[in-house]
Amino acid sequence: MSEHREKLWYILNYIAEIGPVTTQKLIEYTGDIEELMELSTDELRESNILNDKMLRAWNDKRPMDDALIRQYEENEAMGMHFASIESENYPERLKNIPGHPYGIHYIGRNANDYARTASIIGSRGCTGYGRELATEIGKRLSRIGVCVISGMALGIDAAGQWGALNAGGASVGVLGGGVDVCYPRENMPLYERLMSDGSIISEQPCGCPALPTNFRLRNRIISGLSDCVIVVEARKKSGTQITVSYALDQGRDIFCVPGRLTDPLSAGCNEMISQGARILHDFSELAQYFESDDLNVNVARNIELSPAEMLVYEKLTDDLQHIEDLLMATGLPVADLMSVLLNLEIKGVVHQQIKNYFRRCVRL
Amino acid sequence: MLGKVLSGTVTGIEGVQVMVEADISDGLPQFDMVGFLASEVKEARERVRTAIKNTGYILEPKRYTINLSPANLRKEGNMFDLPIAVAVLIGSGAVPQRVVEDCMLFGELGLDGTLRPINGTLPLVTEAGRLGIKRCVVPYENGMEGSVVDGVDVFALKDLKEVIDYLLNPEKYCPVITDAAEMLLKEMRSVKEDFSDINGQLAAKRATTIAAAGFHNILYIGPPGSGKSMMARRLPTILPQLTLDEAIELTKIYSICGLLPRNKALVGARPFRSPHHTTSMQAMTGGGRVPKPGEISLADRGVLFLDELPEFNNSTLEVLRQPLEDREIVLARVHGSYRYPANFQMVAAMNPCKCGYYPDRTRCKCTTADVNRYLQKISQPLLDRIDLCIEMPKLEYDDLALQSDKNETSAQIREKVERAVNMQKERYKNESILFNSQLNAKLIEKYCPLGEAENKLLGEAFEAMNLSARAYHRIIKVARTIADLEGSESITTSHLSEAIGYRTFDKEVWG
Repeated sequence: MSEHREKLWYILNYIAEIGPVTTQKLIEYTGDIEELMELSTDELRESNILNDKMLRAWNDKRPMDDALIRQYEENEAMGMHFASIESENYPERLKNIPGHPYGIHYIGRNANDYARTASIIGSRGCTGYGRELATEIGKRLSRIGVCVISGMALGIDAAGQWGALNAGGASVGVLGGGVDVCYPRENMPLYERLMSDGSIISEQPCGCPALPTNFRLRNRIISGLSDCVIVVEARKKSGTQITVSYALDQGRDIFCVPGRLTDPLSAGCNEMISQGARILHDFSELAQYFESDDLNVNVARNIELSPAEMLVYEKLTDDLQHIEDLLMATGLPVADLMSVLLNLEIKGVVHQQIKNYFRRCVRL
Repeated sequence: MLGKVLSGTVTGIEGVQVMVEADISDGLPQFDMVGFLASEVKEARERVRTAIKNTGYILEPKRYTINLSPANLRKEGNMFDLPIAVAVLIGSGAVPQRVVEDCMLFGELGLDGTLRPINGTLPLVTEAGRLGIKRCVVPYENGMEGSVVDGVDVFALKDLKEVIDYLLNPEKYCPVITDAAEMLLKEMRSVKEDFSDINGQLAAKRATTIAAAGFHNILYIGPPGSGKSMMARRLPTILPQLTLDEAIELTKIYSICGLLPRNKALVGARPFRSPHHTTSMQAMTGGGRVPKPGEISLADRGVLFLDELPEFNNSTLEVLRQPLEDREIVLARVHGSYRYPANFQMVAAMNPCKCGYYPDRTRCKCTTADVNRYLQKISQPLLDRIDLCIEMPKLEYDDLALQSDKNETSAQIREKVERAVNMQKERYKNESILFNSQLNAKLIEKYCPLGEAENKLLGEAFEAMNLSARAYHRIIKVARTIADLEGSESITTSHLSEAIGYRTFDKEVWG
């Protein structure tokens, strides 16, 4: 692999209109990247591979070759790397997926550093339970040395990645825009953390905005980079299901967290389970999957509860309950109930996700 | 000849004495009025001339000069017609000067000589009382209102003819007599809303009680139909009863705005003002070239309810900050500055998100960003002035079907509130404050000492809940009020933990 060839791939990647499928056809037509990039417009038109739009993009962007090469060099110096399919930094896992990208951009460590990977995916508008569970799974995975892959979206994605990072593990964020575009903006802290403690990957050229059409393609990289895909919460017909169908095409294993029958946020998970996804009914499932001996990650905690605390704790569920419902259920006066709940919260067994709305903490 | 009559005008909510002088002398027939007059006062000329003619007196074609003194005070309002008419009649010799000694006159005249009601009777009569004037003549409709003032006999008369008759034969007329205290009680009993109307929402009721006891500002957050407005509307019914002084202050404000019903002497119930969220800044604070009291003054001694808080224009909300601290508003205008009381309790209500159903995720499709964006419309400085915040859940059928006779009535709650208020009054008798909500950092240290266990709990709670330092003082103030409600001298851990439950939402904690 020469640097010259890398630059050629970089230029080709920059012509975003020419996607992986067309690139594959072009390479098959010419046999090599260097010959491809030498072709004139007329020769390309003769090949009948590119449509008018692609040809126009090619004509518009090829004159900028020199500028792009400078950009490539600047990017490398700033830590925004490019790896073509020929590069040793190109993720091995991606090479054998259908429609794989011919070049990827990344910040941080290259994806081949991670021996074992799993993606944690799910809804953006998740429940508090789902978020906490994703965090916990991320944490546990990172403890047995598994890197957590996800899309850096709000909700489950970010929760799983934060779980892994906060437990000292690594995580990879796969973006729908360029690697230098933090999307969504709210996850800037996560983005910065991934730069130092993990990786950020995208097949889109630098500076490309996070276009809605890119996210479908982004999802195939998330599943492609992972050994297995863990779905925490998903509605029916969600983006998560796109990732799962890619994962099936790519032969990845799928774990789903089972949910309640009536919960629309788990409907997607339950549906996938009925179609044959593995049920994540216990954390040891995952430990076995990754052949980790570290099955006893569960740290049993013995917390003493007073009778009143016990009474309240028993009425709580995994769903959010307003203090008003608990008043009805327990029959305690407002003042007493509030102090019991505060004590439970301080003991770490109850979570007040939204003010005055309580639920039990997730214990695996 | 010269005629002199006492009258008055209103600036702010206070009456100011004005001397009306009329001189009649030989010369070209003319009717001149001087004395820094607003146009409604200048127009009195035509009304007075015609009313005098239609009452049966003849105005000779002479030179009439009317002066309203002091000359540097702008004269506003419709109360000068009657004093001008009487001064003219004195000047023309129809009425002797001595009959208006010790008497103040106010009233608007119709062309036929009838007396029409005026705004600001109460402040004017109060001013008369302060100056030691014994008698006031007011239009018939304003009689009850004026009679509230002690030490001034108020005569409510129907037309100019009757006024002249009264001045000449005062012994024939009786002053209006009202029992202000009795009237206040009657007013209070006529309030229809009651807390027992509300089923369920025990936590919110408790928070409302605490808000009433410490005069804390409160914020309700809940989905549509959870009873936020219903709760707010009933807050005035559990606030301590108005004292006579408070009622008089309040009546003055309503009187100068012309909002006092004609047959009422006093505003007896604590006001509940609920300005719409499109309300302008001027309507809120008081506006105009000569400012009229705004919503915050009309809510004086009562509740200013801001429904749909995030929908309010930001500048409209930000102007509330200073009156919330100072308990009054000073409006500066070209002719001087006007001071209106604004001692109100702010009660706000809002939905938890744009669609209103968060955190019920089966109905709410707002993204977390949407929810936060909605909350962030409210500025932190305003939030800092809200001590209590309660989230109300949507009501289930079971709650609605509950027996309503089990609910506490407003009278029962008010009793508890008044006990707590009296404790505060006793505690702060050497301070310039009345309520726990007015405690500042220094006074908190003095009056709200925390024991070891309490400090430990607070420390743990701050740790576990990631609370901000801003919340600290608010929590202690609310805990102090809860302790007062329980009749406890010291703040205990249970008071504190309840207060923590009512803290204002922190932006980081939400969602």
